[in-house]
Amino acid sequence: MSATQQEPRFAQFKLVLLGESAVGKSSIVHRFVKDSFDDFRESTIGAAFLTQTIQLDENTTIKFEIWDTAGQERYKSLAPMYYRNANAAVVVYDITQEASLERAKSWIKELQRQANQDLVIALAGNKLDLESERKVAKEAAQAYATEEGLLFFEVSAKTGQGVKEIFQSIAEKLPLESQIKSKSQPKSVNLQRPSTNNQSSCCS
Amino acid sequence: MISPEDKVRLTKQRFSNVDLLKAAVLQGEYSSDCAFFSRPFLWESVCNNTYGLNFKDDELLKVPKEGEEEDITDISHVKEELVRNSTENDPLSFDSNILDMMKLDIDRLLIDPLFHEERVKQDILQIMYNYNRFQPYKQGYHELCGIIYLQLYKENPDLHKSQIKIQTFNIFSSMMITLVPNFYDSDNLVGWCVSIFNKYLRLIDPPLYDLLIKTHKIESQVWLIRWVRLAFSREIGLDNTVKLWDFMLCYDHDFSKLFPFLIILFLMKLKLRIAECDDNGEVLYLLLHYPHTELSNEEVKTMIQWSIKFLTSPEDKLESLGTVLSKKLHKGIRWDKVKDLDRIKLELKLKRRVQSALKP
Repeated sequence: MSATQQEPRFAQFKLVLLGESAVGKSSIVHRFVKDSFDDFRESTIGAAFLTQTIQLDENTTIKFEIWDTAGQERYKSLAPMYYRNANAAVVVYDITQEASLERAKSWIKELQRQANQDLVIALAGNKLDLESERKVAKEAAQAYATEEGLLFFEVSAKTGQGVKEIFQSIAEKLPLESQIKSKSQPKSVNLQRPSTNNQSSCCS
Repeated sequence: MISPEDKVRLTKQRFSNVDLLKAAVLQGEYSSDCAFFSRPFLWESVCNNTYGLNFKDDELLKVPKEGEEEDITDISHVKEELVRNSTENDPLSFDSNILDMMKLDIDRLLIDPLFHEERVKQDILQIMYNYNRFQPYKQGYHELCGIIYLQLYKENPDLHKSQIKIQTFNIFSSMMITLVPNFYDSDNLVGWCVSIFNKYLRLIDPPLYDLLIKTHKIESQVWLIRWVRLAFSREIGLDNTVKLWDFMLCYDHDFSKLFPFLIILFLMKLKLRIAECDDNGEVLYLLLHYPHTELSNEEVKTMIQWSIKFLTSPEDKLESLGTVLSKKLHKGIRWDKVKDLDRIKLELKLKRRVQSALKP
């Protein structure tokens, strides 16, 4: 079924965020899902779960189920629970912390080794608003991403710059046809219903 | 308004030993509804009595400043008492990155504005630094520690700085004796979720087990991790959490003994909403954004009593007990006949459709 047929299409994908602690994974998710930002955000324990839908084109809606994992899963044994069945992963580093890129690279290695072969991986350098404190050259990170066949972005969860583009680009790269659900299918999510990610929610 | 000192005096006067105090808590006689209730006194007395941890302020090592050598005073006698489990790191090797990690986490401790104060951050850091000598630091320790510190501070903001620190350290270390091995060790955590939590969920509420585990194929550990590592605090609100802690500390030396039953109770309360979810994403969202309201002391007591009943009943009686509880929680449904929550879902949807059709 192609978009030109004007038939509404809906697909759902699982996405996981990985990366060093305090690089801004939760802030990126909150910018994407709630379009908000807090200077301080509590440490993620285990993982948080959020959902967000985007309109890929006028006929196609994509729902992301997002696992935002804790940065300190140093021992890695719990992380596979979250990336095992994921369709996409955003590996985040902080452009002001050189070591966080190295950590991101080790996550990417692990994903390439252990996760789904079809996993779409994006490398995202966060805190672009702190350009004056930059320690990771864009060119170096981009070159690495190109070499590994990853999507690459520099973003700022604080200003919102580049955040939507990560998810938009991932959506464009995902194998849409295999996940498409016709709107008449009983299990498909009612897109008219308000988003479950309301602002009054107690926690993330 | 009774002063903190008078609360302690009156409590001691009313309950001459810790066993009486614990019994009073479990019977609902000594709770925040009681004029002279002192949570810090309760927690400290029970922890001291149960675990025998009674460190003095001068035993806490100072946190090394940047570039300073670490204080390597031998506290291995303490370690002997506390550590009985395998760890994934050598607890004696101190990684300066861990100190940075602690600082980052403490900067992001948002449970109360109190933690914006530099001196308070330093207190928490010192507690974490010292505890790291027993168990390598993991994210989450800081928040549990903060909750304890906050309760002590709320009771008596004038409490001498060194006192609040050491009291927090003793209570925190006591609670962590069972939390760390059960929930902060990844393998044990997964084992607990599968062989304890799932088992009891299946025995107590088979339709709910089938819906979560078989229909929606949800691995319990993916959502339980935050529930158990933070001992409910992010799931049900801080006020409810500390009320539960009062009971759990008094019930058993294993602080986490009632965890599976309490979580199952929380799930059962939410059963109809879970049943109505269309896919596992919706269920997971509910489980990780539990829609809680403030619980009265009486409600908390009832939950604890049900949990104790589940814990102490023979396994072949759990399903019938679960049915009794379902009937109490969700009236108007013949739970003894319900084998499949999908049917309930259809009925609820139908009912709602009829109701909306009947609306003028």
